[in-house]
Amino acid sequence: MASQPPKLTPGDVVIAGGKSYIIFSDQVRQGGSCSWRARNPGNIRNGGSLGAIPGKKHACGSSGAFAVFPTESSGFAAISKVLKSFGHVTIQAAMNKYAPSSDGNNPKAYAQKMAKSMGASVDDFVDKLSSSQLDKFATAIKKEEGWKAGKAYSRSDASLPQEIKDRL
Amino acid sequence: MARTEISCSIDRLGRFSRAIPGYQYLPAVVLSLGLFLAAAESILAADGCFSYEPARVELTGKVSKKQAFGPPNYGEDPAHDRRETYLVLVLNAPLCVTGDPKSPTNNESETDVREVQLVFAPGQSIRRSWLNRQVSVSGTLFHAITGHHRTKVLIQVIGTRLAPALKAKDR
Repeated sequence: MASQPPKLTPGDVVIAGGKSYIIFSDQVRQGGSCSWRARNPGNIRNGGSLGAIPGKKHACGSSGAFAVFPTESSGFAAISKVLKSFGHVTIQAAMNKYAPSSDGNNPKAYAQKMAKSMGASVDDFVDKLSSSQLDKFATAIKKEEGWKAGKAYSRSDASLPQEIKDRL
Repeated sequence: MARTEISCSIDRLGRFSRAIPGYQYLPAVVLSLGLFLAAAESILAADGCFSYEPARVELTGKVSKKQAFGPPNYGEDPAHDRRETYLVLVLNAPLCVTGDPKSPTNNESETDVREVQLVFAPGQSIRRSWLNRQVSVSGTLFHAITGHHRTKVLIQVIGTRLAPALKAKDR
């Protein structure tokens, strides 16, 4: 007697028909950018202490695994938590740490764009930014990381692959 | 004759010590050095592993330049994903790092770390001629957090210096 496949829980990733689906408590996501699919606008790898779903990872592309967050807002909040964890550093230094560069991948202009978006200078300190400025910083990072929506299914959507429907 | 030489030597030492400004601070310097060495020793935890920031470490290895896919899909869509170049230090010997359970980002321990990505401060870089050569890098270790972090553990660089080339038997 064949055993039933286990029920899917939030944060599970299922490959069906060659496509990657991520299961959430309120919907199922497929396509779009890695960050959108995993509700992880900062493309954070380890988010267990930052509000991500514990033990769940989404392997995107050829560059390893990323955290899966239960909601977009928790994923967004995680960006500010990471920035704050850098301590007393300038916006420029924070960007160098968030997205290290070599040979001008994302030189000073990248940090300048971030600083401009929050009405600050690249030499301003991250731990002195207001909540509103940190939100703008996180929004700019989300944009740089390439947030792009794909297809969001409701969990009862009849067009979901049968192998997923059977396990929800 | 020998007696004259000894006397002369003592005499020179006396004059030498008076010639150095701040010589009276020597005991303080020695004490500071002792404290520094004690702190440096504490970088290695009881399990023999390194600690994450703010502990300062010095690692030696070969600097290598690599490339990987970046946003938006980190290699899932190679035609449209950015290509990011980064530098790693390929370590002469693997290391382990003990996680700090109180840290939101450095709480994971890592073992068998063979490469660390180099993270430079604004305006800081490494000489091109040092690529693929033995380099000692001082700095602080932190765990990979974002998609742009390509090794399990990274080092925020404080300083770099060229290291003697490895002998064949040590490779």
